[in-house]
Amino acid sequence: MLRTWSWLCRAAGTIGLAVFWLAALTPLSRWLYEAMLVAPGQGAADAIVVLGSAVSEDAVLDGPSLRRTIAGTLALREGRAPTLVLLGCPRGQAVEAEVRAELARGLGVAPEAILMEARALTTRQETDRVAHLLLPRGQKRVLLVTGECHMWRARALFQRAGFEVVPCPVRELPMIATSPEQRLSLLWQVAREGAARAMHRALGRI
Amino acid sequence: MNTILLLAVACGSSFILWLVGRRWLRLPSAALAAALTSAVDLIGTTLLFWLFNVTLCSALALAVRGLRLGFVSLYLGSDALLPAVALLQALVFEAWRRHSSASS
Repeated sequence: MLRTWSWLCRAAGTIGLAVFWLAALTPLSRWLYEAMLVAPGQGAADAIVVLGSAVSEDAVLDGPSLRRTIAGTLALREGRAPTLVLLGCPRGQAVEAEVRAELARGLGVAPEAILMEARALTTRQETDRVAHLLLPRGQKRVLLVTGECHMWRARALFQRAGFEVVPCPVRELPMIATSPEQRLSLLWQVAREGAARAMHRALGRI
Repeated sequence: MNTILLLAVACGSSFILWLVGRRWLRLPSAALAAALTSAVDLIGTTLLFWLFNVTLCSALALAVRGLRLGFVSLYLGSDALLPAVALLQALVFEAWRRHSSASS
C-alpha cells in the first residue's frame, strides 16, 4: 500500500512539474486557451444579454463584470439590439445588475432600454431567468455577452433553453502572455473552465 | 526577455545554493539526487491533496445548495487558500511517513 502511495505521489509530482514548466515557458497554455474560444457572431439580435460576474459589498464591479457591461453597452449603441439585459446578483447591500445599469445609463443608454435580473446565481440560473424574461416577449435571438473562455458553455445552455445565440465574447485575459505568471494564469483559466464544462457534461446539462 | 531573466534567476540561485551546500555545509553530492526525488514526491503529495481539497469543497458546496442552506459558488474551490492548505498537509504527512518508517 505504501509503495503504491509513493509511486502515485512521484507520478503526480513528475506530471505536475512537467505541466508547470511547459505552461510557464512555452505557448502551451495559449494554444489550450485558444482551443476553448468561440468566434464572435455577426448581425443584429432582439436583445443583448450580459452575463454576471461579481460585485464587492461596497458596489465595485470586478474586472470581467466591468468589461462585459462596457461590451454590452457598446453593442447597444452600435444598434445591434434595442434591449440591454444586465444580470448580476446581490452581495451585501450592492446588487451587480443595478451597479451595471447605473454605469450603462451613465454611458448614455436610455433607462427604458435596460432590463435587470438580479436573482440568478449560476450560469444555468441566468439562462432560466433570461428565458422567462425574453421568450414570452418573442425575443429569441440574443447577443450573448460573456467572457471568451465562458462563452462555449453559456452558448450551449442558452441554445438548449431555446435561444438563437449570437456570441459576443469579451477578452478578460491577455492572450499574448509575456511572463510565466500570465501563461500560468491562462492555464488556470483553462483548467477551471475545463472542469466546469466536464461537470455540466456529466450532469447532462450541455 | 522577462522569461529569460526569471530563468537566469532560478538557475543562478540554484547554483549558489548548491555551492553553499557543497562547500560551506559540506553536504555529500550523492544525497542531492535523493533530495530531488523527495521534492518531487512532496510536490506530488501536495497536488494530490489539493485535488482532494477541491473535490471536497465542490461536494460541500453542492450539499449546501442541495440542502437549501444557502448558495456557495463552485469557484470557491479555486481559492488560493486550498493549495496552501494542501502544501501544509503534504509537509506534515510526508514527515509523519518518514518518522514512521525510521522508527519501525
